Amino acid sequence: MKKERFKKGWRSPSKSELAALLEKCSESSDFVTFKFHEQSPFAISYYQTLVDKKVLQTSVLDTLKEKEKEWSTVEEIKEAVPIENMTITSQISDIRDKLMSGHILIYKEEDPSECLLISAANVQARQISVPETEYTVVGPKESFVESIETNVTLVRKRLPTPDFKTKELTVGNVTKTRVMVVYIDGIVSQENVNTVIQRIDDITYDKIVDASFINQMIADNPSSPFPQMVDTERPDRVASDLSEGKVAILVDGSPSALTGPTTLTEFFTAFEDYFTIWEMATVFRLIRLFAIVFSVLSTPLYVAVLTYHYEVVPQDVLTSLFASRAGIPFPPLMEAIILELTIELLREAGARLPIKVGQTIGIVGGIVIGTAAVQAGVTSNILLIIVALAALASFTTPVYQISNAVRLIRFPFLIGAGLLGFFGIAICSAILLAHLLKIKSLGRPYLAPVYPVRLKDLKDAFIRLPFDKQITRPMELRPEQPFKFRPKPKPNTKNDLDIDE
Amino acid sequence: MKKVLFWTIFVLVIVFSQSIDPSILEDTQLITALGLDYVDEQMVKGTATAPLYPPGQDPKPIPVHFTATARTPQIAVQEFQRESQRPLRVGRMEVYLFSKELAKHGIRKVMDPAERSPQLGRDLQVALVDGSAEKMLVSSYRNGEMPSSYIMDLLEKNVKTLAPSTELHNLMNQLDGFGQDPFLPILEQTEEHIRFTGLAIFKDDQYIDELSFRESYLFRVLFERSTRGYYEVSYKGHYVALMNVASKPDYQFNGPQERPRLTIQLSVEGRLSDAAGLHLDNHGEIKELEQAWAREIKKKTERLTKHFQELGADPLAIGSKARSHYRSFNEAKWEGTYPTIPIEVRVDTTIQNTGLTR
Repeated sequence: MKKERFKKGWRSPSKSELAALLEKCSESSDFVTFKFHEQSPFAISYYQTLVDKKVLQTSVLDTLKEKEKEWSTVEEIKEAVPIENMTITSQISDIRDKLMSGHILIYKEEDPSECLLISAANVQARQISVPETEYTVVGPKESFVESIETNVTLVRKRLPTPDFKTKELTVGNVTKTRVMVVYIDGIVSQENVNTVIQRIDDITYDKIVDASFINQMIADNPSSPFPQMVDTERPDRVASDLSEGKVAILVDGSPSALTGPTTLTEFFTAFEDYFTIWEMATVFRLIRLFAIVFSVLSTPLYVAVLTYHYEVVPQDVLTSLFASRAGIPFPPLMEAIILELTIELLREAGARLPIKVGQTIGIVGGIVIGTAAVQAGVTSNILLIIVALAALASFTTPVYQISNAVRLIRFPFLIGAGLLGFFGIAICSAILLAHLLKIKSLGRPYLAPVYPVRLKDLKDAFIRLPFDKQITRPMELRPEQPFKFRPKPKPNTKNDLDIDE
Repeated sequence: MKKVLFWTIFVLVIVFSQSIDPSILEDTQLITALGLDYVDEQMVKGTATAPLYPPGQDPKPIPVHFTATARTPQIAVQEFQRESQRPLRVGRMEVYLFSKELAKHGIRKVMDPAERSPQLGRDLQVALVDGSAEKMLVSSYRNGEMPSSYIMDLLEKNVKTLAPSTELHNLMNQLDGFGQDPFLPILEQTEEHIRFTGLAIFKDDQYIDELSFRESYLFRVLFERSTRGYYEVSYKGHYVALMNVASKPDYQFNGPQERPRLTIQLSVEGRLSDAAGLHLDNHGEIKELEQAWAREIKKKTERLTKHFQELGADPLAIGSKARSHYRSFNEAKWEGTYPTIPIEVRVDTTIQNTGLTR
């Protein structure tokens, strides 16, 4: 088969082609080419910076030196060198790619028709550490690192089944980033896998630096502020998602994985929910949901009420509202925008600065600026409380990207409230709802199981039922095997006699 | 196309939102209470309380009053506008008062603007003033920073336990609905307090009679389910106070539509709370007290219904209840039938407990 292809179009590298490649490479100062000894017909080339020196010394050079005889073909060398991953190839693009990923090239100078490539990549990876953005008090504390091999290992050791499959793709003209699509065969819907692979294949871009690049490029609606795949740094979460029938994407050089298809409710699901008993998990989920609604609506409601709808303020609140607003030179909309921007400034400053300085910024911003602003009569203290609470509430989201979406969609609501009052908020809500209804995640509805209604999937959406009630996988994912497990029939203990009777 | 449409709407919203008249909270003055007095057939005198809130940490509202004479309440509010510092708004009004004199000439005319306005809450408290509404609103009271909030709290939290609720939506229903007449609490100004004195009974929209506050409590028991309040019962020469734990009236019509008979089945559960000098250590004694209590309620409530029939007023909404009981009800004939219906009150009392001591 290979020979056929070879005959049809694949040419053996001409001497000049290989020479051109090597010449190009040797323009870099870390590229080395040398002959083993004066008379030897073989030359050795590699990038110093990519190759593991230990492998080079002990396995390659020592072996070559040990047998003082003259080597005649590369096959002989291949036989002798004790390294697992070696290929003999004649394809020039293959040689180039392998050289760039840390292979040692051994070739005959006179006859470069067959080149031996010895894998000796020097993998520099960070140690596996504790997850930082998705930290949980209980549960596993491993997180992904920048090496894709390590990341696949972390997932595979949690899913010891041959059905766990990986498909490797290369994306990016310049970066040639390795991307792996992983899934469990027999559970996942093949349609979802095909969608992911096809979309990744269709990517035409020069550099893929992080998984978030892929996330944006394969999203169904790339302009939506809502993330359409979950970005996680927890291998346990990926393993759990895969066993539900999702597809995950791992990207070399990125310490996070993407899982999908996802739904909006999943972004309010902390993985820690599964580590606590179901009642607590349910309550916390509902609190989080409330926090998001509060975070989006509280400031716009304040603006709408103060600008147009004084009728809805209860009499007891009226006095303090009047007192805090009296003497403030701005209309409520301006006041709210100023304060919201202040909070956004604090967030940005806190995120950009080193950790220790960042804490100081938080304290300075929160306490000093807030109090000073109220005392100077620039903002009302009630709004200060509302804005601070709204900011706090937006931090309760377990997935980082959705908190950015919540941050952003607050502003249209605010302007709508300032221009048209409750009516403006209603219009913004309608647009938001229409948008959410329209979004799809890998072709699956984003608002499921709320719309389209999937009653069975509600067991793990806003609430989390106990594990023995979680018999089916999410219907929304169309898994090939819809049942997670077969419940054991309950023994009929009604007629069993107690031991004393 | 869609984008063009979106941006067109967006620009239109921005442009036309400039022509919406905002009422920014601190730039307005909110009328919290409106009182109306009778001047003559045509004119009413309106008095409004619209407090000003000074800026600061712990502000005390400054009571501000406006008075004007006009043909309708809405025009009176416009007259106030000529004197006020900030634009006046009626949407936060809580108390709507009018004098007994005005009520005698009919309240439909003065209630109309309140019913029509979409800004007013339907929980607006409406009450009658024995005397001048203006004087009641303008005076200052020792136990309330503002007369309006004093009256509001009094009506909403205290009178509620003594008489049925008379919020705006109830009143609207009673004024316009078939087979029922309104009733309103009467407030009276004393030296330094405002006092609830009883219920005013209306025929159609005109004041015709009033009930004392004790009678209004019985009226409440007849009118709706209730859970609070005390009865005074005379028993063997002592006066006994019984607390109402739960009471429930049940209206039952019997007989043909031309000659209906009404039975009001009243079940009352009570707790003994004041019985000095009595020894209630056995069941027989308590049974006797229950019966005495039932007789007392029956006597008083039957007197009350009789009185309503004589007046031709129907605050218990018997007409409305009869209409829903009889198929193909003749509304035109009801006016003649109502005073002649035999009404019997059957009382079923239970004393749940006698307190800590016997």
